[in-house]
Amino acid sequence: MVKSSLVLVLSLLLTPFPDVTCRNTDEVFQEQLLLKPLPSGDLVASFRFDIEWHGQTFEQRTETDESYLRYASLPREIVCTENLTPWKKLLPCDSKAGLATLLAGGKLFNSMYYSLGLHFRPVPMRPDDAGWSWQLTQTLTVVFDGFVRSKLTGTNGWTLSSLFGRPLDGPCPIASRSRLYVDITDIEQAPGFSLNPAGTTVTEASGMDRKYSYVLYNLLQPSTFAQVKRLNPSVNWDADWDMQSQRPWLHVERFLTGVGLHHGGISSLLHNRHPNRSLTVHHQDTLPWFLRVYSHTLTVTTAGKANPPSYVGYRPARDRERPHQLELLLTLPPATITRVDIQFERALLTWTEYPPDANHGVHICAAVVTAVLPDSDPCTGLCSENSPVSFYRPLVRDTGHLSRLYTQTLLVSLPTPDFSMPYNVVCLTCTVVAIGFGSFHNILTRSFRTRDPAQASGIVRHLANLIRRWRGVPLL
Amino acid sequence: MCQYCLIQVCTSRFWFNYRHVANVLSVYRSVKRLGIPDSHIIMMLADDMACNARNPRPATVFNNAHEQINVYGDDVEVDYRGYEVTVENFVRLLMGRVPPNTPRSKRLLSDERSNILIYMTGHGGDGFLKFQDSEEITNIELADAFEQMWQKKRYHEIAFIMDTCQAVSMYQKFYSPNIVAIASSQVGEDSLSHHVDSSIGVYVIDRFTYYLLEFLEKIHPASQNTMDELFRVCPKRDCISTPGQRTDLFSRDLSTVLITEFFGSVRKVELVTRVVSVPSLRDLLTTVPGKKDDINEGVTLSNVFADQLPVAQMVQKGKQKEWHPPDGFILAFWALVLLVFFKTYGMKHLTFIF
Repeated sequence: MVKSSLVLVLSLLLTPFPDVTCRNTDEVFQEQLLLKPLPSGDLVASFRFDIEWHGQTFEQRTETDESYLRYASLPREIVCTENLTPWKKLLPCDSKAGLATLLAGGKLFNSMYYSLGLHFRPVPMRPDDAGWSWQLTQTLTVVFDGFVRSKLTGTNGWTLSSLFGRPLDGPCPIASRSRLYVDITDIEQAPGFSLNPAGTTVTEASGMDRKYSYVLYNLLQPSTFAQVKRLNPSVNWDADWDMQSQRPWLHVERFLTGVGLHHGGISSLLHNRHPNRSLTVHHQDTLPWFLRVYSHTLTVTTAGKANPPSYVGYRPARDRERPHQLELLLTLPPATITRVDIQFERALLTWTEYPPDANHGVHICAAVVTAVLPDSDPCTGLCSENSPVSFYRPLVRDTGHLSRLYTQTLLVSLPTPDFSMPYNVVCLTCTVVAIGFGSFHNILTRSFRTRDPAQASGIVRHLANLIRRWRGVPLL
Repeated sequence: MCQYCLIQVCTSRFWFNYRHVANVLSVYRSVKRLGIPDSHIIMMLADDMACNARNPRPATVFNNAHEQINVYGDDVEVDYRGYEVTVENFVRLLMGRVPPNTPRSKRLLSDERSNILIYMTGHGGDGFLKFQDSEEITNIELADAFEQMWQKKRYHEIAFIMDTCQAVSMYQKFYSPNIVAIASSQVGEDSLSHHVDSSIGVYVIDRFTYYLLEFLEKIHPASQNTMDELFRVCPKRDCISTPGQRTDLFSRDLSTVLITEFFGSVRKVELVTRVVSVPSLRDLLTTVPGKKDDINEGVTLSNVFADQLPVAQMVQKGKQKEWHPPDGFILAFWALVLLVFFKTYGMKHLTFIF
C-alpha cells in the first residue's frame, strides 16, 4: 500500500531582502540521484536538483528576525502525477534530459513511499562567506517495494530500468554537475555481489568510525557513455545476505490512543539510538481547535521515569480562530525511547463545518521534531568533491547538522451527525402539523350542517324514479 | 486570455464514481490532442482516483476495460481538486469573481471573443447537479451564471455538454445568447454507464461519453466535421437514454460550425504575400445597421433573445407517451368496484344517490 501522506510545510523566511532583479545571473544547476538498498529489501532513491543564482549577492543579516517566521501545514494532500507535473516544469531541463527523464508517474507512484520537496533559501557563497545567494532545491524521494521486485526478478537485485522503466541517456546539458550514486556500503561484502557497469568508487569516512562506500557514475564525463549508449546500472547480490545497516540516530513516531468518540490521546515516541550521546530535540505540535487538548495531561517519560522537558511553550486554541500550539524542548538520554503523551476531548462542529466526506475523519498535522545531530554523518566539515553530499550546505556547521523530522499524520474520527436529519425533521414536522393540527383546526373552526342533496336535473330524476319505482321506495 | 477555453467539472467523490473522473480525463485528453493547451483548460476533479489507495494500478486512470490508454497521463494538470470543487468556486470561476490571490491557472481568462466548452459530469436530477454529495447547483443558478457572463462579455460562444442523469433539465432554463447545449438524457431518464473493468472493480466510463470519445478520436485539427454531428453521436440504441440538445440560443447554423471551433484550438490562418488593407474598427462600427457582425452583436441593443422556456422546441425527439389503458375499460373497472362496495356494505348507501 502506498503511504501517501504528504505534509506540506512552508517555512518562509520573510526578512526584507533588497529587490533582486535577474539581469545576468550566474546560474548553477546541479543534479544528483542516490540509490540505496535498505535492510528491509526496499530501495530508496533520492533525487536532488539544485539551482543557485550566484550573480546576485546581498548582505544577510547575522540573525533571523523571528517575527517574520511563518509556519503552515496541510495534513492531507494527495500527491500524484498532477503534483509532479508543475514540479518538473521548474527544472531547467524539464523532464527532457538528465536525471529528470526517470520521473515517470506510473512507476514512481506505484511504490511504498514518495515525497516531493521544494526548498528556497539563501545560502552563503563559496568558498568564503563573502555574500549570500539564493538556492532553489527540489528533492524527490521514492522507496520502491522490495518484495514485489524480488518476486519479479528472482534475486536480490535491480536495474535502473526495472525501477524507473527506462535507463539514462545522458546528462542535462546545462548542468554543471550530474551524478548517479549507488550506495554499496551494506552490500559490497555480500557474496555474489556484482555491479555493472563499473563506476568510480568513492569512500567516505565519518567522525564516528562509520565508513560509507558509493559507486559514482558521472554523467558529464564522456567515459560513462563510452561503452554503453544508455546507462543502466544493475546490482545483484545473494538473497540471504543480512545487511548490517546503520540506523539513524533519531527516529520519531506518533499515534492516537484511546477508544470511542469522546476522549482520546496523542502519543509521540522519540527514539535516541545514539549509544552515548544525549540529544536535545525541539518537538512542535499544531493541533486543531476541535481537539480540546488538556495541557495538564501532558506527560513526558523516559524508560518509565518522568523526564520533564526543559521548556514547554503552549498556546491554547480559540474556537474557530486558531489551533493549539505546543512546543517542547526535550533532552533524550542515550539509547532510550521517550514518550510524550497528551489527552484530548473531541468537540462537536456545526453541521456546515464538516467536509463532504465527514465520516472519513479529519487529518491532524504532523509534529515537527528538530534536532542538531552530532557530526557522525559525513561531510559536516571537509568533504571530498566526489561525495554525494558535498554540495549540501548544512545550516549548522560547527556542532553537527540540523535534522528536521516529520511524524506521521493522524486520522481522527469526529462524532459526525446524521446529515439526513434536517430533511427527516422537515418531513415529520409537516406531516404532524398537517394531520394533527389540521384536523383539530377543521373541527374547531368549521360548523357542520346537514344539507339536502341538490335537486337533480330532469332526466336524472326520471331515471332515478324508474329505479325507485322498481324497488318500491318513495319517488323523488 | 484564452480564445478556446475548456472548463471540465467532475462533481463526484468516492471510489465508485471512478467513471466520472475517467469521463473528464478522456475529454481532457482529446481536447489537448486537438490543440488546447493546459493554460486554457480548467479542470475540477472532486476526488483522486489515480493515486487512490483502492486503485490497483496507481497513477493511472483508464476509460476502457482493455486498459490501452492511461487517460491520466504524464502531464496532467488539475486546477481545482478535492474539497475545492464546490458550487461557489464553480460559479465564481465562471463569473470571474474569484478571490484576489487566486493564481492564474485557477482563473477563467476569457473575453468576448472566447469560445468556451463546458463539460460537466456527475450525478444529477431534475433541475440540479449534485456536487460532492453535499450540495447542488440548480439549472436556474447555472442559467443566471451564464447570463452574468454574457453581460460581462466573458464569452463569445458556449458549448455546454452534460453527462448526468436527467441532464436535459439543466439547460432548460438558459436564456443567454450563443449557447449550444447537449445533454445525455431526458428528464425522467437515467444516463447509464458503459462497462465494468473487473480488474479495477468499478464502472470505468459512461455510455454517452464513451460514444462521444469514439467520435472525437476520429477528429484531427484539420477535420471539417461540424457541431451538428455531435447530436447524432449516441443514438438511443447505444446510449439507452435519449440525448437531447438545445440550439435555439445559438446564432449560427450548427451545420456550419466546425467541431474544432470548440474542441480544438484551430484558427484560420491565411498566408498572403501581397499587402492587404484592413479597415479600421471605427469604420466597422459605423457601417450600415443590419450588417451582421459577430464581434459587435453583443454591443448593439437591438438583440432579440429567444423565449425563456420554449418547451416545444426543446427536445428534438418527442418524449415517448406512456401506454394508457382504454377509457371504456376504466369506466367498467370503477363501476365494478362501486358495485362490489355497495353489495358488501349494503344497498342502503345507494339511496343517497338515487
